Amino acid sequence: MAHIPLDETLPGMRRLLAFHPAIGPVLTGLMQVMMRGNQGLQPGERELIAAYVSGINQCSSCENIHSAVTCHLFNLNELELNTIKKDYNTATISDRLKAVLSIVEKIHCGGGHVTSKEIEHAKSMGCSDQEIHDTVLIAALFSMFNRYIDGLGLESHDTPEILNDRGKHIAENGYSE
Amino acid sequence: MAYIELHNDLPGIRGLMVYSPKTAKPLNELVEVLLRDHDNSLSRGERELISSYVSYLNDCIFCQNVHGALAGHYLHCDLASMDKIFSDTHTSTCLPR
Repeated sequence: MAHIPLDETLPGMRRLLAFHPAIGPVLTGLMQVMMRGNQGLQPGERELIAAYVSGINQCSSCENIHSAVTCHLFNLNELELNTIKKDYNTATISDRLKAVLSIVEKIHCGGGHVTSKEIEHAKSMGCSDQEIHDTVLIAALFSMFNRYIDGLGLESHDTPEILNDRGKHIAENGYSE
Repeated sequence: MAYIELHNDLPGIRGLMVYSPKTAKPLNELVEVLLRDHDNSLSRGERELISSYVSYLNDCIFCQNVHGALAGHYLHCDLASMDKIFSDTHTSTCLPR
């Protein structure tokens, strides 16, 4: 149970968004800008970053829902996505996406762990400065969300069916509602 | 030096905000609500202190100092006193809660 009283009838993160009326709309707006930006990284890539960093941060609440969104956007099944998250270096994804995830892996440890080695490799794989900026920001943002949710003791009891439906909804509609 | 070309020489996160105004806007809106909203039982000084302290623990000097200066303004502490609070939060007599 959460460390503070929340409306447990609401799903996932919405419990926290509803708790503080001034913060909810701002966080929702931030998510829409970060995860549905129309330049550079595609929405599926953004969701994969969110799912991957949440997984290595051990936040199952965030990992599960953003994995579901990723699967819908990339037309993957759960097993295929798990293969990517478990070892992206050997997964059947582009070298560019592997380079992106190598930056995310470092962000999980801390911003100062990112070195020019990962950045230059990402650039050599075709990542623009904007894409590198957004990779770092999304990974950092989700590390913040992971701590926010886990720090307040939220647990996710979503069934696979609920996650699939919500994942499909977010994949089709984004975060603006 | 930043890993990407920011096209400005502003320090710390300010440079990033000028580089990417679309993401800076909602980030600043979030920080404005979190750190300055009056409808909060934590004072502005306490919230800036939290910001500075966690930045200290995360080894981010820029954020530690900027928010430390703000905390100092609200709480009437100088940065040296702030460093003392951070180095030993258990025995500091400032802000017991």
